[in-house]
Amino acid sequence: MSEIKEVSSMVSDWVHEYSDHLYSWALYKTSSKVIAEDLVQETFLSAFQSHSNYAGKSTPKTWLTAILNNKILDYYRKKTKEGTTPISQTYFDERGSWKNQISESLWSQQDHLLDNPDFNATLAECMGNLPEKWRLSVLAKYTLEKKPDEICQELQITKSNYWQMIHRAKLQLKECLDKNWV
Amino acid sequence: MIGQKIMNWATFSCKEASEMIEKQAVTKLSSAEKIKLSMHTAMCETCKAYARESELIDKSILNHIKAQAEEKNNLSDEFKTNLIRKLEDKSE
Repeated sequence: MSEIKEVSSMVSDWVHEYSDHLYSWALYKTSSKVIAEDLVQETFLSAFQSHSNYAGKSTPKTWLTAILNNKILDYYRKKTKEGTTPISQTYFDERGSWKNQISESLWSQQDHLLDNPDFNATLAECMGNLPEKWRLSVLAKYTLEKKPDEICQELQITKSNYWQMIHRAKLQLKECLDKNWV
Repeated sequence: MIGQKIMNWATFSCKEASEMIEKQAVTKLSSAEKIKLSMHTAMCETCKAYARESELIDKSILNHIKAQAEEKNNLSDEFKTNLIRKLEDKSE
């Protein structure tokens, strides 16, 4: 067997052994099945290309996880820096007051909202409709498991950039919930 | 009219107030920002609701991430077979 075939067969074995674990991790970090699949695929393709860097000092699982973590961070970085996303609608009038006043949004006063699986499912769906940049901005707090300062450093964005993205995301999520959750 | 002007000077608009609510979660507000925000939310029910909603959204996102992590998440056999095929193609 040629060397390259040997590598390919070794990496293929790793697919059987570790891909589910890597996928779960990527899914936890991105909260999207499609993106998690892409990142896992890229991880194995990178592992194949750079197998010579794998010195066998760590377990394949650790090595693959390190590659995946880099891919995840790259993904966050790239997406959160993507140009401005057009806002589908404005939520405020020219004086900066809410267009929709309180009467139209009473869901936050419902009891035990977070124990309601339907509410959580509705929100998850609303999250899926967000532009990727904003979706990641509200996820980062939990998935990157770091303080805001460090998140901004990792993503190479400013703090005001970060909270402005979160603000946009929350406005759109609020609107989606106002519409779809009563 | 004058009342409105004083209001604009002393407090935030709803747009600014809701921004400050998010800013507050990321970084410290200045003293002036803090005062203007609390004056605004004291009077504005919609912004008070926004603060609640924002917090609920955060908690629900965390719930969702946790629930997803507890599920058994496996890749399909089809996905794995395709991936292995791609790796083999590369070694041709």
